[in-house]
Amino acid sequence: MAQAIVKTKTPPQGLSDREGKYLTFALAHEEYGLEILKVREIIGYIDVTAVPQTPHYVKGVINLRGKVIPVIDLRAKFGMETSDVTDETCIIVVEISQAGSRLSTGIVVDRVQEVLDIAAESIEDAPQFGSSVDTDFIMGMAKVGDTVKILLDINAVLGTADFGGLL
Amino acid sequence: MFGRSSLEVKTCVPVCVIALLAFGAMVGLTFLKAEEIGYEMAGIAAVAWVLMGATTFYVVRRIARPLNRIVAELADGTEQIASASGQVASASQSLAEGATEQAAGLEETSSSMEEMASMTKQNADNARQADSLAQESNTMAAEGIDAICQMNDTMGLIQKSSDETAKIIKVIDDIAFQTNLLALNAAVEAARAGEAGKGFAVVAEEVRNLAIRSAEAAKNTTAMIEESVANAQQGVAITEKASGALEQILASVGKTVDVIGEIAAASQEQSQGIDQINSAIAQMDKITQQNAANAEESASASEELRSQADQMRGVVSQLLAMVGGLQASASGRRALTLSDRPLHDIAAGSRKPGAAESVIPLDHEDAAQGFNEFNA
Repeated sequence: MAQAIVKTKTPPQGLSDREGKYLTFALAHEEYGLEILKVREIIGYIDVTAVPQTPHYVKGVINLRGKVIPVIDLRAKFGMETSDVTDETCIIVVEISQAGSRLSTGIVVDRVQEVLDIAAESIEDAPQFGSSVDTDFIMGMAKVGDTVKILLDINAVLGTADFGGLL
Repeated sequence: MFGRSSLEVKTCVPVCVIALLAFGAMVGLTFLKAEEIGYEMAGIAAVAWVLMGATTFYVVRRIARPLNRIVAELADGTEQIASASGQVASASQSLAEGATEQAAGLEETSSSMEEMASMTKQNADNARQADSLAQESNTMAAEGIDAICQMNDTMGLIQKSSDETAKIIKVIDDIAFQTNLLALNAAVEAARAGEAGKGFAVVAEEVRNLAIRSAEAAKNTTAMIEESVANAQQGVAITEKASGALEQILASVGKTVDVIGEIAAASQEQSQGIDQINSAIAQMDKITQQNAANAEESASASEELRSQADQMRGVVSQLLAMVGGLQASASGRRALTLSDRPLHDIAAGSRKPGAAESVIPLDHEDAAQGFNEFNA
């Protein structure tokens, strides 16, 4: 958590740190970006085994080549309304470091797009929406062509997640 | 004594007068010559002359009166025969004319019946032709419906093959998607590998491009398939409409065939009826011809009768002239009176010929006998 806060509070170094390759994906009408190094794998949507007594944004678990990993619905996590699974729905397996260990988690996204090389000049800080809104999980805003992609800090997104004892 | 007719007067009187004069002369002569032949002889001769005169007078009167009566009656009868035969002749003539007119009228009727018969025949021919045309239309409409069924089947086949093609396109689309994911994963691994993975990253990018192109092509093909499926469905809708129209055509053609069948049957009956009428008219014509011929015959016969009657009249008038003057013929030449009406009625056919016997008071056998006696 402190790590995340430190990251957003150091502009000049953070900017050059933030440049690199990002995996872009779409969720509802917005496009987001994930650091490529944090991405482990991308798989098409497979059936998720629901687990009882888990938060609403925890969809369940999947069996990925012998490993059981939890799957999170990012829409629910962000408080957006859930949608049906389409042909383009994918699961991005990300690696987060939590409590010192590396954990693999799957996040359900609507559409996976491409791997983009984003330069430091294109990245801007997240705008302040007021002190009550927590925008820690936004690393920055990347300008790609005409669109703006929200670069997520996946550690911040999932760090606050309570997996209900799954991990 | 000298009866009713002037005939008797004109016949008897001169004869009697002459006889009286003659016998008177003889008696006178006898008295003159009495001295020569003796008074007894003269007396006997005078008595004899007187007796002879009386006898002659009596005999002549006995003969003359019936003779006069007979001749008068003969003259009357002859007149009546002449007039009657004249009426019969005119009646026969008018009958002949009527029969001729009837024949002419029958000719006209017959010719118009011929026309009607030919028109009916034409009608029947036309009905037959229309019937065959309707049958042809029927067959063609049935063929049309068959063709449409075939078209429907073909459209079904098109639809099926479109569906299968769509399935295959879906498979290709899936493959493209999976390839895309693979390319992304490869890019992730290449990024992890850092510097060493730069070449691999390029390869991954190219693979991704290929996947994108496949997806594009699949999308286009799907669009085209949907278009062709939509066209096929439109074609199906149109064929259904055409099929409906053809069914209606079939129904109306069926009805037309029925109606035409009825027309043909009616024409046949009409034709038969006309044939019957034709034969009846032919018969009527024949009978009319016979009537005309008979009327002609009776006209000529009555002409002959009239000529004979005229001849008889001539003879009778000769006889009259011989017996007692030409006024005899005048008594017979009288205008047609009421008693002549029956003849007209006979000519018109309204009175039985038997009544004529009572009008012409000639007893045929007696008259013939009297005539023969007279002639002999």
